[in-house]
Amino acid sequence: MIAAALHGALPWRNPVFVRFWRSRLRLRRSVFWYLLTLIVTTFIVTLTYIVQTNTGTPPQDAARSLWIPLLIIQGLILMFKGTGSVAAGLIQDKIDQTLDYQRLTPVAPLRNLLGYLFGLPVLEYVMFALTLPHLAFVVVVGNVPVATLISVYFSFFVCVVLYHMTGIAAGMVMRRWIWGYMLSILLVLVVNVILPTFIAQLGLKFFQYLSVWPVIGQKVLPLIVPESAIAGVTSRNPYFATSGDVPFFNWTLSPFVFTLLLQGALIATFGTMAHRRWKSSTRHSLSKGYALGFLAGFIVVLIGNVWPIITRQYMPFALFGERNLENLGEVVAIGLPLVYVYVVWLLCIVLFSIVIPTHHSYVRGIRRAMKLGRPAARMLDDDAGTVSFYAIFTAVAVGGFAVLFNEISVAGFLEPFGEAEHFWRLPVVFALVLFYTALLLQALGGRPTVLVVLLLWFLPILAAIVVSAAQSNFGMAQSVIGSFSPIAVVFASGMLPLGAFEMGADRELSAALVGANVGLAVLVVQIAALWLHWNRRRREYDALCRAREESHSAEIDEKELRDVVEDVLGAAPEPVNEAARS
Amino acid sequence: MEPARTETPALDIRNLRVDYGAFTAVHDLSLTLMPGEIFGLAGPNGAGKTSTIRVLATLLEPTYGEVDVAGRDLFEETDRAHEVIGYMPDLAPVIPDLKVWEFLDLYAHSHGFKGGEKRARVDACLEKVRLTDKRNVYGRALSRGMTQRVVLAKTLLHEPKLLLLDEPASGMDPIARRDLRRILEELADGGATILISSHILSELSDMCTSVGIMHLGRLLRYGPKEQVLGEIDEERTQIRIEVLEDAETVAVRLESRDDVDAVRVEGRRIVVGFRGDRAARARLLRELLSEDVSISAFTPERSGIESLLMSLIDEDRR
Repeated sequence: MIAAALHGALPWRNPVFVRFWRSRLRLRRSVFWYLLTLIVTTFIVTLTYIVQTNTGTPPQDAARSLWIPLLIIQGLILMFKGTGSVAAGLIQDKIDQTLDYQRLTPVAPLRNLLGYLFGLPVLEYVMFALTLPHLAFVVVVGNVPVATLISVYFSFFVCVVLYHMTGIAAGMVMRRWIWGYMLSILLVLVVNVILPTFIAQLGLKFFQYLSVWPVIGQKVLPLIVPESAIAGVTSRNPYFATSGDVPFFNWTLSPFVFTLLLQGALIATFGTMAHRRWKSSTRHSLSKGYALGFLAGFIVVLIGNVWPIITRQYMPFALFGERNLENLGEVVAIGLPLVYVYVVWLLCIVLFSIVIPTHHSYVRGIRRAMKLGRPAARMLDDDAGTVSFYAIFTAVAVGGFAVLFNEISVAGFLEPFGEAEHFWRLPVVFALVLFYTALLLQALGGRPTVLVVLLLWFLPILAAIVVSAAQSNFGMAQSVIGSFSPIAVVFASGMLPLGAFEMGADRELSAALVGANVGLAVLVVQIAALWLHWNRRRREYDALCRAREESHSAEIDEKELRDVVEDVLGAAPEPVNEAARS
Repeated sequence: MEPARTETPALDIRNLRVDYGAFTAVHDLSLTLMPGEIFGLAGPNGAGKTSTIRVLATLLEPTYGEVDVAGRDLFEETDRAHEVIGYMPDLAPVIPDLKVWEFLDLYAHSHGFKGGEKRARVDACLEKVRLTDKRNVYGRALSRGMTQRVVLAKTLLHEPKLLLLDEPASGMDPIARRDLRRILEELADGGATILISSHILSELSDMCTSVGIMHLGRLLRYGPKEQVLGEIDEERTQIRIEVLEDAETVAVRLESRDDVDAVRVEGRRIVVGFRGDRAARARLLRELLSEDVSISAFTPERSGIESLLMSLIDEDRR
């Protein structure tokens, strides 16, 4: 049985892989890319090596220093070009309907998925293979340990598979190849370039482990930088800032293991999305249960990474540029909860947009439920628009906040703020904002929600900025205008304790307080309005379905149709929609 | 051709419904097809034909309904159903950067054929659709009709027991259509069941053993072709009358008759929708001649199932 499974797993036994092997590797079309790879790689490797050895660097060190540029070239080929090819190729197949052909073959979904995953970027794998002679030079002349080589490339390929899975998921969901191509490449860019230099500073260190940099930092850096200089390099270069052990609650994990765990979980998630869409193109990319589990897992990783900081044990990495635990008071008490709220909110927006049914599928859910004699679709069904589920989602997110904030409080980070009375605001606003977001998507649907986000989330902030610029200070008007945006309300609610601590009850604080109160009231009013709107729509849909069902029953009244047939044909009436054959 | 009847229907659809939001594309459709049957599903655009076929091909999830293919639940045993279903979509594409033989090889491989058997199947199917000489042509270089034939060959690779063909003859030339009919008859003789949809109804009357008429998501009528067409022949015909004098004047006279429900003038030719049997048609001719109309031709035409379709749709709209 294992032999049969292995036999089936061979690439040339996979019809989808063979298809791309044939179509993408035709010499006439691919020779340009082969030559480009050979010329660019050889130029960089040769030039760097000659320059280094001419300046007195020993051949072994010069060869080792070629590894990172070589990894960058290999990353550009497989991670950027390859990911784009996967997304664009899959979308093109979807547009051409050839994906439907493949769906209808008895090939197992996983095998199909593997065929697309390794077949679509087959040209890029061959281009990668053309850089192997250069890698061999690095390994042989640089005397690179085989174990290091294996662990770096194992991690490199896990990363490549993760990005290509992103491309598959984008291809399954998006409709225009150019958007899928750009989105997936942008994602790789964000994970590899933007996250290490910016987001990681906010305590979201684990995002960095979605790239191959931590493993390069841990495995390659010691080979090319003297041991005494490693600390300096890692502190100056954000790409290698994660080369130390990874904090996870009270444990530490090696970057290699943590990277594999994190990327493995994401590969599984993207695989689930692709598998669901493969089975049925009308299904949601994730089930409600999976989305809830993903949110919970994300919160656990997020809190686990900052655990040593919020429990005042040690500083595993710089937070907002600060490395001294004793100087972190307001950064931990005010900054981390705000970061948590914004990041979890952002994730919830993504998950809500996946799992909240469109009105079309909601109506389908009602009809299906009616047919099955149920009062409504079951809570976890794709077509169910269950408000109680959004409450559970909100509870999980707020529960994570409670754990984070409790630890911050127990560790004494709140003590400098004395009896500050505004700490209750952020969790309350957070819960309301999450519920509001879910209701917004459910009640109005996708496109109107985008309009609301533009007009009610961003416009008030922009208006407040313009008014501030005109008045040269922060006053009541800006505060009230800005408070119409939930983004600003969250910020105001999170920052109020700091304002109260630093400024006392001065004019600016009272303006911020009024703004936060107005914002809270606006949020509550919006939730009430959306709730009423959704309930009205729900009743309308319900009535519509029942009315149609009844009228349809009348429509298909057999006698009536028999009369129609008789009248038209002058023939003996036959039962219609039954066995109407003679 | 009388379909061979067995206990287990090849396709059994019960209360199938497909909704796109508030719009109902397929309205509680029930239909049973026996092995060997070539069933033509006719209806105007938007009737629900393609939605029905896409559900049967498992490419569209219905709102509700049950479908059994050869006695097996389509939605519970989807993978097994794929082994016996062949689907050819409307405007079927081929993969542009594969050669014809590579395209067929991909799906033969996907259906589990290997080595010599795979090559033999590809060659046999190419021969069947008369495209052996095009085996090395790229998909992007094929004409519309050739593309249809290549996709038909792909659909036949695994010798499906249930063929779902959505507008298969669109773009095919008359010879290719004749070949299509021949292939379908051969398959049906071998026990395969074929569901074929078209809004070009004359295609169906040529190819099918039974016909169903769909409108606004409902199956208004279905049964053996001979019976359906026989009924229509007796009831409503189209008569082509060619006159030597002013056709408009004659048309006005014809429109005033109770047994004429449509009149169209094309130069000296008048096309009349006539309701009545042979005796009534003879009476009409006699009356026109007695009114001194100079008739050079009087040709009753069997209007096929278009006539039934139009009648049923008219009634349904009323």
